Amino acid sequence: MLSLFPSNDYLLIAVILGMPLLGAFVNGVWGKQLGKDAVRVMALTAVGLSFAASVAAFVALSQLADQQKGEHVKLVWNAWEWMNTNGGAGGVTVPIDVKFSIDALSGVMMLIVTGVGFLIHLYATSYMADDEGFARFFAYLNLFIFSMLVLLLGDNLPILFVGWEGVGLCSYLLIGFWYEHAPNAAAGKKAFIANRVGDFGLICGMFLLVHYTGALDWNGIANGASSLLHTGEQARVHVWPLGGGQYTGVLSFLQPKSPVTISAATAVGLALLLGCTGKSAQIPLYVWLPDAMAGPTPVSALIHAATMVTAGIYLICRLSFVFVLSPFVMVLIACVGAATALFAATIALVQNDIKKVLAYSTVSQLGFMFLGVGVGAFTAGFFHVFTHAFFKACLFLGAGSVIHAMHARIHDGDPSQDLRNMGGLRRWMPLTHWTFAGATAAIIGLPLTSGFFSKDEILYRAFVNRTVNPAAAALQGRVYAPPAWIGTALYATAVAAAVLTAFYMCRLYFLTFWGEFRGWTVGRPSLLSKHEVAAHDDHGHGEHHEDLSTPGHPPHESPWQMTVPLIILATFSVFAGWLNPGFGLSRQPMEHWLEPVFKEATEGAVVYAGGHDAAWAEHMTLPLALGGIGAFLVGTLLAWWMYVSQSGAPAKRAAEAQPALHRLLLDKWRIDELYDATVIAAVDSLAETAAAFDRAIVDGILARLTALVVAASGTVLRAFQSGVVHVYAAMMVVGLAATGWFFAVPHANATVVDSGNNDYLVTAAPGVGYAYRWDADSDGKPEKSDFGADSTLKLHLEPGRSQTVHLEVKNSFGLIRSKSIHVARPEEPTSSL
Amino acid sequence: MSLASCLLLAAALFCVGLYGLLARRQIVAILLSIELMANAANLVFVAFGHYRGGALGQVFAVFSIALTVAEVAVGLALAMLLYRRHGDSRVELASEMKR
Amino acid sequence: MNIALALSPLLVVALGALLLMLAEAFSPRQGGLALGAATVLFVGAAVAGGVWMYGIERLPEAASLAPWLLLDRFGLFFDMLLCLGGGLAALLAGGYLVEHGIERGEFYVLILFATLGAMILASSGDAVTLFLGLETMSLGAYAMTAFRRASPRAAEGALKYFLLGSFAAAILIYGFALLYGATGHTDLAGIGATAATARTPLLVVGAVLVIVGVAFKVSAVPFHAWTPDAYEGAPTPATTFMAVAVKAGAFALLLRVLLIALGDASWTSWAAGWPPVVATLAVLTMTVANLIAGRQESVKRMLAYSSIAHAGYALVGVTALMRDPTQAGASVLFYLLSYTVSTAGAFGALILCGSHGREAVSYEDLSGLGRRHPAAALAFSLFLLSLAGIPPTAGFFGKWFVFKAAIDGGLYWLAILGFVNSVIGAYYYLRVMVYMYMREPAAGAPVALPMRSGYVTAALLVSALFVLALGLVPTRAIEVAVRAATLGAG
Repeated sequence: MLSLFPSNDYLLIAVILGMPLLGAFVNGVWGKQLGKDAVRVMALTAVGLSFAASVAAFVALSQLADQQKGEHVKLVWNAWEWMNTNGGAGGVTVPIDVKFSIDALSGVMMLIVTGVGFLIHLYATSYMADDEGFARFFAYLNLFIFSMLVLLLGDNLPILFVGWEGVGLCSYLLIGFWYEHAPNAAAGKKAFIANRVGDFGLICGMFLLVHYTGALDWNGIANGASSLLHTGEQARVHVWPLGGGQYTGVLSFLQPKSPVTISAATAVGLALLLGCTGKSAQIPLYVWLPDAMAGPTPVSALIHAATMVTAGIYLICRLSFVFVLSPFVMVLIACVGAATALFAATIALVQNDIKKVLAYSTVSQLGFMFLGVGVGAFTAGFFHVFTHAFFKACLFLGAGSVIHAMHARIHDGDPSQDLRNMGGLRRWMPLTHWTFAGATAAIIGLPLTSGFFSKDEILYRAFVNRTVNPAAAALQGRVYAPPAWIGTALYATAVAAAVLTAFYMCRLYFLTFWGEFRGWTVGRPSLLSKHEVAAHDDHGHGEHHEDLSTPGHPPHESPWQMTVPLIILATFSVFAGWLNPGFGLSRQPMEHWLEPVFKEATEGAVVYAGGHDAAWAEHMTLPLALGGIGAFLVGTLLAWWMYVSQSGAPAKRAAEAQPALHRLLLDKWRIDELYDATVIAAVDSLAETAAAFDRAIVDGILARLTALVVAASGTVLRAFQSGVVHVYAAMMVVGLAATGWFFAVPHANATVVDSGNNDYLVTAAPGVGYAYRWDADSDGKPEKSDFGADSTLKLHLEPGRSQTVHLEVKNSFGLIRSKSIHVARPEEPTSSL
Repeated sequence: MSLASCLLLAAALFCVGLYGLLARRQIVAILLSIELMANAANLVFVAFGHYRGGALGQVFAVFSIALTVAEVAVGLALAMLLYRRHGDSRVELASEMKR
Repeated sequence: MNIALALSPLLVVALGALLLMLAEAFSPRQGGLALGAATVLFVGAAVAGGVWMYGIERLPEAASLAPWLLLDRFGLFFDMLLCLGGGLAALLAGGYLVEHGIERGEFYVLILFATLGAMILASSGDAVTLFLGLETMSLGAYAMTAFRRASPRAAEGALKYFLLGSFAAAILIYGFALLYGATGHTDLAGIGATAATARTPLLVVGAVLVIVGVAFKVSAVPFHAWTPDAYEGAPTPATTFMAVAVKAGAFALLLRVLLIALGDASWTSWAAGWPPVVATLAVLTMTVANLIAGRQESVKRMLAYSSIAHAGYALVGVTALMRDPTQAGASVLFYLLSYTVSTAGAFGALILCGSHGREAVSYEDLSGLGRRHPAAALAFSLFLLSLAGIPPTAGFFGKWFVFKAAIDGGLYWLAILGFVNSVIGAYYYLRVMVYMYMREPAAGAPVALPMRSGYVTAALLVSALFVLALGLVPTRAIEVAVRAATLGAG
């Protein structure tokens, strides 16, 4: 394999990327003509071949890794040179190439995306079989796979950004897939706005990286990363005043005593973190993800659970060597993650829509991943990405299977997703039930399943790990140190979130598959009333009076295209944990595999808390594991007691005892309303303070006023376009006259250059046929009475002195203009800003 | 005749042409005005050619006259087009397109 | 012989034009003329490319034609660009003229001669050849504008174009007369070499007149007023030709004049030279054209204003010549290339949308096109996105390079104004897409039916290929532009 494709020109990447693109193109352009069978074949072949090529590339990569032990090996394909920009300390040329690379990290992600992607494509061929937009759907889905692969395999930030925007685009398209529904379109819009905020952060991060490190590709950023920690004041980012300026005049009250600065590493980290919270649905930008479930269920599984939403964590892992330079940002990542994990879990407790529960569960699990990478345990965080891809995809697809079955009975979107209408489904859907049970076991952390190992490692690392600034010595104490209790707090929060996870997932599982089926009567009343109306109008009373309790045909198991992916994913959910089992077990293939990627970042930056050593950490393994196991037991047993042994009665009582809290949770802590309220309140207060401009501000200066000004000036300017030749000629004459006037009048202007030795060189601007006369001491008497060609004047000034120079310029028409130039030498050298 | 008076005459011709361009209504009159301006330029070429010696100025003037003739031919054809349509060749008849 | 090789692009087009004229005169069947004209022009482009690759430096005899014809890489670049633009226009004419019942062979002859004029203009280094090229190009353009003899609008547009164009030509020739008087030279290099010593007001007045005359040809505001009327009145292929080839020729002239004749330090001074004048023209041109374009009801007229606005963006790059002639010049050349393919494509898509004597002109004509004719709508969208400067199209890199040249030259405010303008511009380009994809035609309203024409389809495919290739793989084209600009500066 390696001899066919050399590692520095690995053309197979073209196949991996090209197949989904081809599929998207063919299905997008000719999908309608081809018919459903051809579309199905095309889409599956595209992703399948891409997966096969990915496997081949992965094998080649592992061979290469074996050859060069411990090295960070890459398979690189430089497609073409794209453009250049400038950056860095010396303004060096920064090439931006269309370049892709596969290393240990992107290789694993690539396998997940193409592998899980293929299974979900297979599933969707059946799930979407009756949809009108069948071809469009698969075109989007293939395009998503392509964009995601560009995101993962891109070797520099701009290419990653192309993929980042591409997956975003596919996400909106698929959320709004059934765009006839207004809520779906609104959900797409919400996702759009939240992601724009995040993108803004990512773009800022990109600019800062170009400016400080002079590179945009991974190797270049790694090489230049040390310049992010320069101690010099000019290498720090001035937050206030923005950009290091000065507020003068009426704004002088804004000028702080000393400028507020942060290190470039922190600025870059914060900007990139904003981007990652947008894409990975973390506080404060998580609001779009639950609404994104308006799209078809396979989309939820692929994009909004298994792959795209983990892009933020992927980026943190990818640029781990940048993030660890700022312990503050690392702690912030961990806190954001822990808070999101707990917060989203509380909302998931009471939701009744099966997809909503899973959506908040995704947000919560993404929080766990953030927590992992935030404490410097990049492998642990990434391993949770890996296991989560399997069990969450399985859960969503299982939910899809359930919805599919319910929908066949109810023919209505929302009720067929409502947990209150399900129950006892394990009788009719054994395969769906068992696979769902396996995936649930994994997410709630049943010991020895995949989720158990990955989550436990994160909990453990949250307690024992601490990040320190690797350049602390050079920074002379100007380093951020997180409080000592942070580890305990993070651990406790995560355990609490784990308890809630176990509870809500078991609640979901029991309500869906156990007990009695509660859906017999759903949908019947509407059917009934229709019959009744018909009976009243046409036939009088009595006929066809349908019994409310008449069972329709029961829910049915899904076809093989849907169950086979479920089985495969469930198998991985249960057993994939053994790739990185923790607990000091000697064989940890994943850790070993990813070590070269993260070695550079973690060395010297990630240490054990409180100055302890490795022996202490190993000693803590079992005690800390008890927290995870305990969380599993408590959550599961509580859910069993509430929903199986007491049939949901305690839950009802709890809701009645605390109606306000229940309501609040059901309304998702009313964060959407809070955002609405704060935004609107801010706009309102602005409107009150500036009453004259209120309408303009409320409707957005950008939107309406600008449009108005543009339109009005367009209308005014059009008046000059009168259609009459004379007017046109007159305009030309006016232009000619103005140009002539500019050249006929001399322009006195001069630049002052400090030429060293307290000498200043005043140079008059050149002009055609210009002659100059200088009066260096401004006494009204020029040094030479005649105008001459001498366009420069040398001044000698001691520090603190200043002088006004008078310049007269005469042009070839004999016109004269003059200008006074004030040259001052400051006392001290100007500040180092 | 001195060079300066030649140049002044040329400038005066150019300005007369400019005035005619801006003030006259008939297309033919406007064409004549533009011809005046072009010929002012030719006059400058001839005058400087004489003043500086050498053939360059005269050659250029002859060349420019030939090009101007071609231009006028197209111009008259366009004037004919307008005249056929409106029975008149006032230029404001052609001001339908605007804004 | 080597001179013939150096001149071969011009010779190919000139001979082709003569042959085509004969064929048109003697052959009653004129079906293949469009193909013939397009072939001649594309062969001309290919020959220019061949000479480029062979290396014009290896043909020292070419210098013997200087200063009348400067056969350098700058000229070859424009030979390729103009032949490409002219060839696209000829292909479009092949579909348009038949569809609208005005198929007469002289149109193709006019295209060929006008392109030849533009090529001579782009290579000229002396006022004599400059005028020869300029008039050959302009007379062809006047005649093409008036080509629809039955249409009052065509006559009107041609008349305005002709009167103001002759006025501008008179200004230009008067300017060169004064420059000749001031310096004793009619060749640009000679004018440039003696400008430093000639301290006479004649020089300044002459330069002002020349700058204004050239500004008319690139239709910079306030010398632009003829443009929308002439572009609207002309048959659309002629509009395409004027928007791409005539404008590119005019920019070649502008670059040569500013770099060679007005290239020394006192002329490129930011305080008193031409840069502030060109910068003012750039700002006026971008802003006025964009503002008016947003108020148009006719897509064709909107595109006319858009082509004025694009001249403004290119003038931003021209302003930056004062600091770095090579990089800024290369940015202008690349801009012209990207503008040529995008604009030819946009006009071509507009041509494709009309049929049977009914042109698609208004926004309403295009409503629902995304459903009725997805391929046409897709092509139109691609070119509009490129004109709006959205990646990954040619237009994005065109704007990127001229704005970058301005920033590198310290003209931040100019780059910012350019950026603001491209945002305004995006509004009216996207408006077309809104009509195509999100509006349905009003019930009973007449809709334009897209035509079926192999010529137009071929032109669109070629343009689309260039637009995408320049957007995805711009590096080679940039290298070419830099080499062309390097020699143009020297």
